Amino acid sequence: MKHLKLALCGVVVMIGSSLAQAADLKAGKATYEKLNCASCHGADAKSPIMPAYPILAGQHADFLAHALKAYQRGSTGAPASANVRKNAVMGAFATQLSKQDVDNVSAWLASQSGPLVVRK
Amino acid sequence: MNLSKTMYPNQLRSGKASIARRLPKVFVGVAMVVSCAFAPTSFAAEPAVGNAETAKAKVSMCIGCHGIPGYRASFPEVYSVPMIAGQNAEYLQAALRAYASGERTHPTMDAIAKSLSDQDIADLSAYYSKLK
Repeated sequence: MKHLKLALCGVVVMIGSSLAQAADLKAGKATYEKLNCASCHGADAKSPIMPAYPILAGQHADFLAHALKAYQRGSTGAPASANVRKNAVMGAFATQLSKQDVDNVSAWLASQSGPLVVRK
Repeated sequence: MNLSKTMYPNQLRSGKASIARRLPKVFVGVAMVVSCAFAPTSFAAEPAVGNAETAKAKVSMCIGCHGIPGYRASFPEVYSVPMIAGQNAEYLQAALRAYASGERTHPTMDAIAKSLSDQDIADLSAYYSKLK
């Protein structure tokens, strides 16, 4: 009985964690294609058309989501103290994304292989 | 009338003297304007070329966040600090300049970016883009 309870707890935790990881990779890829992000960042998200644009593939998902939110804040009049990014092009794209879109596209980008690493 | 006549040569003398005294200053002024007119074009022709070796003495301010696996920032949302090793050098330069200009705001990165010279930015960007 005690073991059964433990096993049930385990199942509940597993379901819970899979729900928490709610980002939809397929929808994220669709968002990347719908907004034509590839026209600047490249179809593989690691071959931008200009070296002044960032490689996104493999970057941390939560950082990418943060950057998109900072572009949203920057183009909706948030004060400079709110951690903003002001950029006409990225601001125009970011403001078209819902919170779910941001999470999805960030998760998909992070799942792609790229050259970025954590190193000193 | 008489008074003005007697004063005229004095005024002339003093006028000549003041031009003579000012001449060096005028020359310095002209020289400064001329040098300013030429200096920016010569700098613009040669943008800072990044030196990854020189950057090794400058990365101490970066590694405390960007060199630690799993390091997170917390405002206004919690997020992992970006991986910058392997990123495009030109993009890293653009990002640092955006923090310095206020186009991007982030208390730590603003302060660091404003402390960097053009050469520092070029060196650090070259260093991290080659670090793979």
